[in-house]
Amino acid sequence: MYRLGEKPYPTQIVQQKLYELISSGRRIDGRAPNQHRPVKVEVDVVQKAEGSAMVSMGGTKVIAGVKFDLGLPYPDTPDKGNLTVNAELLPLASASFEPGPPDERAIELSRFVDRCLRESQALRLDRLALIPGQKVGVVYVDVYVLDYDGNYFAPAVLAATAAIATARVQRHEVRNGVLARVEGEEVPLPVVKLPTAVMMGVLRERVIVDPNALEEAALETSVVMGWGTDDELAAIQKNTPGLLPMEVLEEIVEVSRTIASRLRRTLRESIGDRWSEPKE
Amino acid sequence: MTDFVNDKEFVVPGQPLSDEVNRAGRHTYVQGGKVYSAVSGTARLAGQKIDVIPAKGPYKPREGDRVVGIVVDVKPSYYELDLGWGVLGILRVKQKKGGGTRQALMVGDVIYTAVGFAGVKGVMLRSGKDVVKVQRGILVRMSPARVPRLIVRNRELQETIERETGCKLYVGLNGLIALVGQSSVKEYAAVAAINLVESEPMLEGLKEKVTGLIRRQLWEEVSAV
Amino acid sequence: MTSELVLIKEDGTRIDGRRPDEMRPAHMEAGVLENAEGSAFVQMGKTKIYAAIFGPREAHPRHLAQPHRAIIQCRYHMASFSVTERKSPGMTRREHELSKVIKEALESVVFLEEYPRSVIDVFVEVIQADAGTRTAGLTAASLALADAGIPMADLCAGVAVGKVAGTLVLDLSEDEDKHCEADLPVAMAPSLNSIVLLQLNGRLTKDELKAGLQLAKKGTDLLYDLQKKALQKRFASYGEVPE
Repeated sequence: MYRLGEKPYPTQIVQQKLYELISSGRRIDGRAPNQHRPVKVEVDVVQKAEGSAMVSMGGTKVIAGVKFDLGLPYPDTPDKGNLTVNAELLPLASASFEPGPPDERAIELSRFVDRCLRESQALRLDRLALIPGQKVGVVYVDVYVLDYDGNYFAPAVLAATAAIATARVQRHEVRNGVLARVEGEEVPLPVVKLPTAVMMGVLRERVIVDPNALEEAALETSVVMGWGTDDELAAIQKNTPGLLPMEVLEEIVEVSRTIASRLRRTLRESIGDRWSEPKE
Repeated sequence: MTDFVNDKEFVVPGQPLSDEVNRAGRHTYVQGGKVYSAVSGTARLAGQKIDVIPAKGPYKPREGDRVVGIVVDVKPSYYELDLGWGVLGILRVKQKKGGGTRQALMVGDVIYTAVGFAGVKGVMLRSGKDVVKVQRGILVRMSPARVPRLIVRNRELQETIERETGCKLYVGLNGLIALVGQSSVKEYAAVAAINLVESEPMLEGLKEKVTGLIRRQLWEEVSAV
Repeated sequence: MTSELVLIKEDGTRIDGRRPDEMRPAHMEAGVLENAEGSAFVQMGKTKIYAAIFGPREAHPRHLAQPHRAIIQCRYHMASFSVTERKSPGMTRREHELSKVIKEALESVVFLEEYPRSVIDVFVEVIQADAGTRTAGLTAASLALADAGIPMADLCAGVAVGKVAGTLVLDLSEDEDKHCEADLPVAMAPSLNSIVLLQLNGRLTKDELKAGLQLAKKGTDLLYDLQKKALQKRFASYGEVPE
């Protein structure tokens, strides 16, 4: 006879304690099950970058920077600009992160952030085709996890969104079919939405928001929900092993939607008039 | 209480077997008040519990299992034996008077012994008179789920092969069989017989097939000379 | 240009004539490779995938070994000729990510504690890609694990649901995948009614997500039946096993 989902004894103890706490409506750090850790968003932290943001979410800290360049479009999207997202789990963030090329977790993070920005159509790449088929704007978003206490997904997406929303890039003009810099003029990137993401942890039939590192290690499974707007999902990633019962999915969707909207509000308050929603 | 399958029915992983959790036997597990199969194989309902006999599968050491291992490391007070399937067996070295050890085994030696203990601490093999060092011969690999075919009914098939070829078989439940014969011809006849035992679908009439195969092989070899 | 492509016709059928909730013809077989411990072939439409299992075997390098359980190593890889434009044969970031989600889906169901200190290697080779390769790859991998006889709580059956021209469709084809508004790969442990793999690329409302998951469930139930049949066929010829 086998046992399903059996973890080593120390993890079992933490799991049981965590479950008892959550069942009584509390968490290890005193939060409620659907309560986010305090979020702080700071933009323009790196002057040499076209856009940048530092986001802290409890004990997790992520920095994102945007660089802008001109380049050739991809052959399959001649009338669109390019977006390149990279993420790294820096070894200074945690004893469990190692130096070297990005491992599968870092690759997963970059691809998730990429999907939040791209699939939500927050960044209008079609407006970055300066000379379609020839010269397009290339947006590089680089995300670094600086300090890790669980859930780097949500702060990474928040930092990336804040950085592209507040970025100011060199203005270019097409004169006689040739691209020219307009000296001294900077323009914002065509960002029309503010995607945010929420990490949801599952322990038996209970659901928690924004797990810290201790909780992450004891969860049965977790899933990250990326919301492009208050009503529209852009990306989902079940990012750890474990069974995710169909029955808890509804709660995950509802709670993550509320929290994602709250994060979006926090972001708007933090960046103030640096970004405004396009009127349509 | 309801069983969802019939005796000797073929089941797959995740297939519900019963809603009586006390019926959970070998190669099953319980979840949400139901018993499920954990492997592909045949369900056995006759006893108190429902067991599933895996059609195939990796070797999992249990106390008392006869095994064949290959020495992969010699340590000051023990040998490490590779039993296959990522299982490393520990064989204690007998201490000589004066504290030194007798380096009787070398890396590459083939050992036939039994599992003394299998658990979280690892797999300890029985030392002493249980240990046979197989000096020469041939090693044959066989699916561990198939090995019992050789030893059921008082080792009927094993003894048939031994009698017909004159080879000695050391049958390891881990899927390794060491055999020693008087000539390569006889040894290869035994290998062919073992392969037949592994590949034939039915156990019924296998003894006659094995006997026929060996006699044919040995006769052909003799007449070819 | 793409705008001329009619993905959903007026009668509600799709570009290849399927209904929105209709799967492509699927074919599965277990035990297709001689030397692997377990193997499987899965075809869904033009998507063709082999999966193979090696082990449990000794973990290399040794420090990867876990004293209390086996680890799974998974490589999802696409052959260079599997796609229209030749793919460079090395591992892309996409392949690294998909290897991770497939591995984690399998870890959700395999009884890893049974084989401490060892590694189970899972290789998924896409020989022709026509959308839905990660889910078909996982379907094949779990079939190969069952073929190897590795104890597991359930099989994993996966399918991609998409939103195409405003309609939710089951089992995306490549034509649809290229122009869809959303791609929702889902894999289930069908008996346990649990999700083992879940991703989303694209825009979807919460109600669409809910409907999409129901659609996926329908698909995975069908695939689960095919998996069972493939195992039955595989082991029918394998014959009787003494206790």
